[in-house]
Amino acid sequence: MKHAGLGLRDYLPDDIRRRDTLLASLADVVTARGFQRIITPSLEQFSRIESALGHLAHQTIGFFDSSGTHLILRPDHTIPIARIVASRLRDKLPLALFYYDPVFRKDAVLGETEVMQFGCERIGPLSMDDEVAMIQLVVDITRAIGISDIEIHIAHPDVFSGYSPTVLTHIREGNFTILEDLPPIGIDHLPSSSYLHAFYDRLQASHLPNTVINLGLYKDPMYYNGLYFTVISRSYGHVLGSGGRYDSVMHAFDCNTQAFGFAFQLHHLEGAISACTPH
Amino acid sequence: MHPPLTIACAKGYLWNNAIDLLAGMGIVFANDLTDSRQLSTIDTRGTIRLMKVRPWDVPVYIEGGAADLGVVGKDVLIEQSPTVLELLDLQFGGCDLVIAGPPARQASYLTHHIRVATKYEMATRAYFDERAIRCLPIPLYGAMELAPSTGVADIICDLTATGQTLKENGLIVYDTVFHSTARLVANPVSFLSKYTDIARLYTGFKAQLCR
Repeated sequence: MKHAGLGLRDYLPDDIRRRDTLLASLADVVTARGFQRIITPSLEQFSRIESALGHLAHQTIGFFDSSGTHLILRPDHTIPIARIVASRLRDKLPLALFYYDPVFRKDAVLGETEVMQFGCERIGPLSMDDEVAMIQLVVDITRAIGISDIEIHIAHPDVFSGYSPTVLTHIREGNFTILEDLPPIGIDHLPSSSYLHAFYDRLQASHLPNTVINLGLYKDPMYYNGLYFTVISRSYGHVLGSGGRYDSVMHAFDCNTQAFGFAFQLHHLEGAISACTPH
Repeated sequence: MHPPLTIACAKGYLWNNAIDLLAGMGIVFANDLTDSRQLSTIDTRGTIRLMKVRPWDVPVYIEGGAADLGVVGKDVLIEQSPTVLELLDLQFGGCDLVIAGPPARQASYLTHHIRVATKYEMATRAYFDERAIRCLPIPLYGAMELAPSTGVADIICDLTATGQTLKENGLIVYDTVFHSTARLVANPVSFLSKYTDIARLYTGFKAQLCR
């Protein structure tokens, strides 16, 4: 067996040249907005971040070191960043951080998987305008790298408050057969008094028309406690990235502040760039 | 004009029902793929592209973004756990995944290291894991019913619609693992980006099922 294995990939010089160009473009956009790069450890002590893992707890790749300590490979960047901010940067809030490093998760089909991510986090007091600015940043990032046909699908935990836990489990697993009808898309189905409605109005006022309210987009409420979103390209068949409001992850580290972030998977950004490039 | 929606449909026992449902919605294809070597066609209005693929390959086409929608058995979805959205139970193609074997083995099949001929390795392992039994799945892809009598395996885990093939080979059903029917599934990104077209087709399928 001479290849890297399922879910893993080797990067050859040509891949690296393309990847470095992409990363430089991404970094240019976010550093111009005041974001600073952070690097988190590849390994985390499971017991120290367990309470923040939510659904990711089932996807971690872990082992025990010689002293019997349970270690896991970093399953995302948000949780280690929340740990670092809570323990070392609490007095520096508000913070705007970005990263580009791999994450490691078990994948049901591919086995153990290493995925390179690029992402941004804003931590500290957040207004609705700050959240709109993060959506604007997503639009600016994708535009800067040549992906011209994105849609940002947005939802909020509050819109699912009427569903039973069983139905929510089905929706999260992508099984809509339990519903009477497909989950609706569009602002018409939202109460005008809801936060999501107000947020959508603000997006429209900011001329961000490629945003869609999607009431079938349900994510782990243990992780996202507020607005969250998924980014797609209409010409590419995979989700490019996702993000949202994750105060609850900060609270898991006894840091009573607010946080909003997103991450892109770099190989999907490259795929979408290719799909958007005329051949 | 929108690009056509692409539907990957499992050939075999689900094919005719799926084509009938589409025809009931007024979707008629330029070429009948049923007995043809041709593997894809487009409807006369240019809105739906139909691909005929092997049942086990349908999720691959959907996950890879080559098809927006698919018609596939629940058995395949359970076995492969693909990243697709399951939109609708189409209610045809009903069958059971069963544990079956010779009558003499029925009282003692829940024993460690029982050899189970199957192409549903994941479902078989899950069934025996739930009962704290370690089984040895023997991968076979056809004529499963021969396995016990030839000594290749002790029992089988396979789909059955009527039980007739089992009966003709001297086997009986010990237990049902799950019931399966055809499902309408979607690529998660297509579902978002082509929601209006997919919702229209979904409504059409549903109306057909209610008739």
